[in-house]
This record gives sequence, structure tokens and C-alpha cells, in this order.
Amino acid sequence: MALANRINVVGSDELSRIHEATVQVLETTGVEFKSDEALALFRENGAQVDGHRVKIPRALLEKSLGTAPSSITLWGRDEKKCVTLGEGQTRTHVEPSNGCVFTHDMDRGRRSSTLADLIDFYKLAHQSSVCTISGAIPVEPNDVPIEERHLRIFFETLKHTDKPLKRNVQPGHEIEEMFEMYELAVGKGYLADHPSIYASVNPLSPLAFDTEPIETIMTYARHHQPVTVLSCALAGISAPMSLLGAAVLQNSEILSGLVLSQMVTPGAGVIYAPATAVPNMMNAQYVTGSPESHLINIVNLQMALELYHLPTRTMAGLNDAKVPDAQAGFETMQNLMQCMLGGSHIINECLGVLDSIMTNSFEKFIMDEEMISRVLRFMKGVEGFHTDLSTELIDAIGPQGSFLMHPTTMKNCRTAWRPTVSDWENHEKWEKQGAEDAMTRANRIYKERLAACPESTLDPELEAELSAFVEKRLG
Amino acid sequence: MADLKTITETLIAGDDEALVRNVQEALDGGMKAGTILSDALIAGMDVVGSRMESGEMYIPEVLMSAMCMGAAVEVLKPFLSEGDTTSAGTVVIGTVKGDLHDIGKNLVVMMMQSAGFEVIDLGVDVEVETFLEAIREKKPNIVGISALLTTTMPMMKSTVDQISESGLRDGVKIMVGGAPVDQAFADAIGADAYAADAGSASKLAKAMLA
Repeated sequence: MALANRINVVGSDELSRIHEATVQVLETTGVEFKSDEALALFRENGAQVDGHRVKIPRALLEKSLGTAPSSITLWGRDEKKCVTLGEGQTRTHVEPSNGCVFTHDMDRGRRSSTLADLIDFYKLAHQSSVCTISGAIPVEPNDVPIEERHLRIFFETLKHTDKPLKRNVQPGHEIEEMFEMYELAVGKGYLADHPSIYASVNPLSPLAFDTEPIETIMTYARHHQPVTVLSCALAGISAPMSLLGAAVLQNSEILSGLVLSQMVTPGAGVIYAPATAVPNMMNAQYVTGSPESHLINIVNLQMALELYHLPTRTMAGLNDAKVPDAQAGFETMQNLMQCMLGGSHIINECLGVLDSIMTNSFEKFIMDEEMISRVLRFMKGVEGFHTDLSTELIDAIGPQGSFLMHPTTMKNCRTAWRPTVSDWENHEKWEKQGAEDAMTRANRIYKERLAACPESTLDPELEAELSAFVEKRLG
Repeated sequence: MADLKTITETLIAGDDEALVRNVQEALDGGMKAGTILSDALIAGMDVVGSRMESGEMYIPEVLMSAMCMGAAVEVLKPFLSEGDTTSAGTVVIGTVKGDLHDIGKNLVVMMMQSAGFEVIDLGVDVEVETFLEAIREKKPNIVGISALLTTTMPMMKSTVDQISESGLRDGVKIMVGGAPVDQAFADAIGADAYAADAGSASKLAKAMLA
């Protein structure tokens, strides 16, 4: 029995008002698409196109919402690791952080990230039971030449995980190359009926899509792979300062991306990803730890869950702390609870991330796993044995008795949630075991995990084939 | 016939019915009660103790093993000779006057009993005079004093003081424990030992008498 309620920010009647406001924005203001191919498609489907500006009529929007699936099965190279995204899903799915340019750890501090750091983050994600989707680019491999990165990163992704994958915006030809490479591993033609990789695509807020994000949406849709349209507007900068105004703008952006995808391939998966933030208005900078940001995003989650029936995704473990300190802990937990209890199907930017997505920390990865596991446990609610009201047992033990020695306690005592990095010992034992704080324990744990991780998840023959593919393409 | 190893395993698994059956079978098969007690049961509880310390066993499981131990000893009792029942020592234990908390103290009692101590549990809210009487009568090796409240901690000191004033201090080792208590407090009130939890209490008690 899951929790009886999700967190709702607005009542259901407000949702139809937001939907109508969105229709108005799409019909009268419109959205800019910087792609002739996309513009032609919109024109064919009855949208009014003026230069790059596309005014999307209600009928086209509603038709697209009708074909976008309410749930997506996403396959891993290990098919046992396949996940259901959206309706019918049984737990929140978790993907690694993405887009950090610095790596932080206790021993070496903050530094420009390298390929070796990226591989270590892939290894941690692959072994993590909390993390059900891998891929992304947890840290930028700054030591790999830019023109080689897309292939080298994807090679390492395939080498170090067999979970379902998340990827980023790329030019169309790079995506084609990547799918070709993936099918070397899983068999030619596999992707056509096995969604396995989704890309996260950002509109250029407010109300525009640049060329590469458009190519990404269209290429993925053509290959029956899902996209997640992630709007990350800043309220007061690239969106209205009004929280519901920001929700309307964000909804308009995400839905216009959805329309594009459905025009290419009706039924292609679209994951609705609200990620708008209330910035630091003192200096107009992006910050991620405001308790107000998810007042916007949860309204959008409500739209997706209640009105549109779409799979959803939010950036849930964000914080603005520079090191894994107390601020990192409380901002992360705030955002995790808001997003997860708001009903987000997938969470991202929640395994290691620090410093408004600039830095990824190995120790924080370990701490985040535990924070997520705490919320996952909470979300399972009260089920099974826990629904026993126990009146007979209470009567049998009586006042001043002890339940500690009752067989029901012994039988179930191991089912209770346990921490993986928090310390629950008494002071003496903690001292005896080295008086480690959470950071020190996390440092020890991540190193143990890396040491125990296999060097490759590929069989040697396939690995050689993929490597040869990469070298050939790079000339 | 159940061998020693099987008996130890059923004890650790906390299966009282199987344990009693195995012990009975072993006796019927001619195994000596003293051997079963020392080589299967007490040896098994040593394993339980160290598994509790390492976190492999949880307290309810440890308590279940301890209860099984009690049930098995009942089966063995009629067959044990004088030399078989060498107790690890005698412990008088209680929660001080003014304090009604006993969950931690009861865990210590269970752990000490299963480690082979004879434990006289005076309960909660124990008057100093009751401690003194028990020391005179039972001549324990160890006196265990427990408190959970910061407001009853001074009563631990006065209990220790009065044991000294009554001339009984030299005959016993005094152990203290409870959430607000630490080694520094134990030293300050003149106790011999402090234990942070039930597992370390029984281990420490054994070590003090070794």
C-alpha cells in the first residue's frame, strides 16, 4: 500500500485553468522552432507558421496528447533491468547526475573532471541498487578532445553499464551513429520495438527550441526512442516571476516539444520534465535550493499526472552547496522529498551533484543513495505485516511487558530500513570504530565500491568490436 | 543423533523447539550433559555475542537465542553434575532508586545469563538498602547499576558511596550503564567499569573476572 496521497500544490480545478492558459499561449503567442524541417511538419499538421514562430492550435495539441503514451517500457542491455516509466510504475526511478564540469572528493578537493572520473561515476551508478537508469554524462571528460567526446563517452557508457540509458542533446548524425553502435551490442533492428535510450531535451526559455534539440526530438522519435522535454526556466528571468505564470510557460514549452515528437511518430514516448527554478534575484543567478522552485514544478507534475497521463521526471537532488556539507544535506533532502512525494516517475541530478550542477562528488553520491533510499522507503507506506493492528499481541504482552522478545519482532526485525552511510551506533562504538563523520565513511564506501566493480560489462569480443567502431569513426 | 554442531546451529538460529529436540536426542544418544552445555550451548552463545557485536545478528535474534539457551539448560539440568555447572560468576543488577527504566538493563541481564552468569535482577526503582542486602546475601562478583535519567545519575553515585561505607566495596566489582552514563562518569563516581551496550557489558564482565 503506497502512501494515501501525493503532494499537491493546487486543487484539481486549478489544473484546467492552467491548461486553458497554456492553450492560449500556444495559440496566440506561439513558440519558435529553429528548424526548417520542424516548421514544415508543423505547417503540414495545421499549425500557423510565421517565420520561426509556430502557433499550435488546440486540435493539434489535443491530438498529440492523445497519442503520447502514458507509460514506456525502457529496456537495458540486460533485459532483466528493464523499467516501466509512468503509469504502472512501482517505484521512483533514478538516473545519475549530468552536466557537471568539476569533480569533488575528500582527498583531492574540486578539480576539472577527466575521463577517469566519468568512468568512476559510471561504475558507481552501475553498482547502485538505487540507480535504475544509467548513462548521462555525470562529469564532463575535459581531457578528451571535444570532437571525440560523443563516441568515447558512449563507448564508456556501454562498457560500464547494462542498465537502460539516458543521453543528451546531440546533432542528428551523432545520434544515428550512437544508435548504430548500440545495435552492435543488442542486434540490428532491436531499437525499433525496444525503447532503450531517452534523451533529455531543453527548450530555450522562454518559448523557443534551438536546432540541435529539435534534431534530437525528431531523430529519437523516428527511431521509436523516447525524449524527455526538460524546461528549466528561471522565474523572473526567463519565465514570469509568478509561480503559476512560470508553470503555464513551462507547460507550454514541454507540450510544444511533445507535439513535435508526436508529429514525427505518433506514440513515441515523451517524458514530461518540469525543472524550473526560482533564482537568486539578488544577482539573477541560477540556484537550485529554493523551497519555492518545486511549488512550480509540482503544479506541472499535477498537470502531467492528472490531466495528461504522461511519464514525468524532475531534477530532485539539487543543492547549491560547494562541498558535501550540512547545506548539501538539507537542500538535497528538501528537493528529494518534494519531487518524489510530488509523484515524479524519474528523478535525476540526485546522485553526487553539488554547486548548482557544476560539481559532482563521489562522497555525495553515496550520501544521496541513502537519502533516496529513505524517501523510497517512506513512499512504500504501510504494507503487508505492518497492517496488522496487533490487538492480540498487545493484550498478550500487556503493561510494562516487552515486545523485543516476541517471535513477531524477531521474524520481522530485519525488514526495517537500515542506513548505508549514516551512523547508528552509540558514541563509544562509533569512537572505537574510528569516529568517522558521514563524509569520511562515504569516502571509504565509494572506494570500496569502485574496487569491487568489474572493469567491463561487455564480453571481450563485443568490446573490441565497439572499440574498433569508435576508432574507425574517429579516423 | 544431533551432533554438537547441529545443536549450536539451532541455538544460533533461535529455533527453540528444534533445539530442545536436538538436546534431548543428544542426551538419549549418550552424550554427556556437561559436554552439550559447554561445547555446544555456551560455545554457541559466544558466537551469538560476537555476531551481535559485528552487527550480523540483531538484538531480537540474540534474545531469541538466549531464550533458547534457557530452554535447553532446563532439559540438561537433571543430568548436570556438580562440576558441570561452573558459573561464570554472580551478578546483582538493578535500576537505581527513582528510575523506572529497564529495557537496557533487561538486555544486560539476558546477555549475562546466556554468557553463563548467575544474575540476580533486583528490578527497577531499587533502594540502596536493597542493593546492600543482596550483596550481603548473594555475595556477587559484580554489581550492575543502571540509570536512564540524568536526574537519577546522582543516585548511582550515592549507591556506590553507600556500598563503600558499608564495607562491602572490596568484595565486588561495580559496573554502571545507561544512556547518559559514560566512562568519565563511571570514573568520577568510583565504579570499576562502564559498558555502552548489553553485548559489551557481558564481555566486560567476563574479562573482569578472568
